[in-house]
Amino acid sequence: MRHVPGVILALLVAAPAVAAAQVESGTRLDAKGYGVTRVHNASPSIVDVAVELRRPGPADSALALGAAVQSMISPSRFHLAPGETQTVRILARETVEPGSELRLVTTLTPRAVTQVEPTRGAGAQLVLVTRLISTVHVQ
Amino acid sequence: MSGAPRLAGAFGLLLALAVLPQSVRAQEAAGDSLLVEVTLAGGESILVLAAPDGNGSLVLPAAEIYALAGLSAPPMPWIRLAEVGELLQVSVVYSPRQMRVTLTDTRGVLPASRERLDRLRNAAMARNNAAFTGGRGGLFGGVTVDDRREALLDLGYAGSLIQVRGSHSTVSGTAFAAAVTPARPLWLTWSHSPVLGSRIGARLALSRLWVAAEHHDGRVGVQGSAQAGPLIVYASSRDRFAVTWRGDVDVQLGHAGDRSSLRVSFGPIDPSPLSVPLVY
Repeated sequence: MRHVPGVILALLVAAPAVAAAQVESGTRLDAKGYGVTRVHNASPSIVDVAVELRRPGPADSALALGAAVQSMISPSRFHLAPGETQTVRILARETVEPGSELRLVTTLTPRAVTQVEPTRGAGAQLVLVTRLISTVHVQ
Repeated sequence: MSGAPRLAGAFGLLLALAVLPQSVRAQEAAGDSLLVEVTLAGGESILVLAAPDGNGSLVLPAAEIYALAGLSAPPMPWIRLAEVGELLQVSVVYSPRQMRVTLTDTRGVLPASRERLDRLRNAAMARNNAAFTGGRGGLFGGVTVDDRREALLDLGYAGSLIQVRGSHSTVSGTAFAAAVTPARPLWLTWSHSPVLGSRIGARLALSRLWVAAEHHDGRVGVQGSAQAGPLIVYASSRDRFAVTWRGDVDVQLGHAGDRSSLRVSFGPIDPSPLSVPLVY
């Protein structure tokens, strides 16, 4: 229990690392299931990015996601330095009904940049993982 | 499946695994292949499945790269990025952030580059060189004198669809010329001078077809060329024609005047589809 004040202090001192990134609001897959999108890192820290393609969840839930779509996402995992932009190519490998919508899920995890000095006692750092869900229109 | 095809399939698989670079096998096993757009600068683009070679570069499927370049099937299934530049004599730029490989054929040595240049030439032949867009069009003219104390005065107008020009020379007299582009692929010309008389010409050029006709001295001359894949046909009303097949072995059949000829050739120099082969 004697460490609790130190933990709280560390939580307050260590600024939470926030992943601020930009993805395109809509992506189109052509008749062959191919599409291109971009991910931009607008945050001041390096972020690890994971991209996946999923079916939408139940109609009454805007955030729920369905099953993953068999697809090739290139690259599906990468990191971005501040200000960098990555082009991501998507090729659906299962039949998707034309006119339907899918979800592109982009998860951004900032790399920890703040080190708590051991001499200051126990510490913790909040890492805010951001998940951006955008729409994929199938043509 | 019968035994023989199955055996052949197994042998093919073993052969492919034997020649496949270790890095490719490792990356494919790890499911780490990349979708990369390969672009021939100024030409077409294709999407290929590539594999990182572990050194920040790529290993690409050779057949698709060679097809993009307009070349026949390569002897190897995979090709490293550095080898693409060496074997095809092109500069290669890989942009990982764009997932794109750009091949630049600065010397125009690839068949695909030559075909693109042929298309550009055809398109250029349909262009009215005398036409200017609205902002640059207008009146033009000038005076020319020489050391004989002869002079030429010309005056005209150039617009986006039409150009007219009149001139007076102390040597050859007064001449007129006009060029009209009523529709994009069609170009009409008319000219009259005391020396050359009156000429009327028309040229129609599409990406793989062009036809030109001229009326002069009561005679009409027509010539044209059409291309379908590796086959190019050229014909002229002046009793000339040439049929050219471009491939690993080039074959050209021609006729001019009272002589017919056939040429079979090989090598990197393509026969001109507008010339008739000659024995001289």
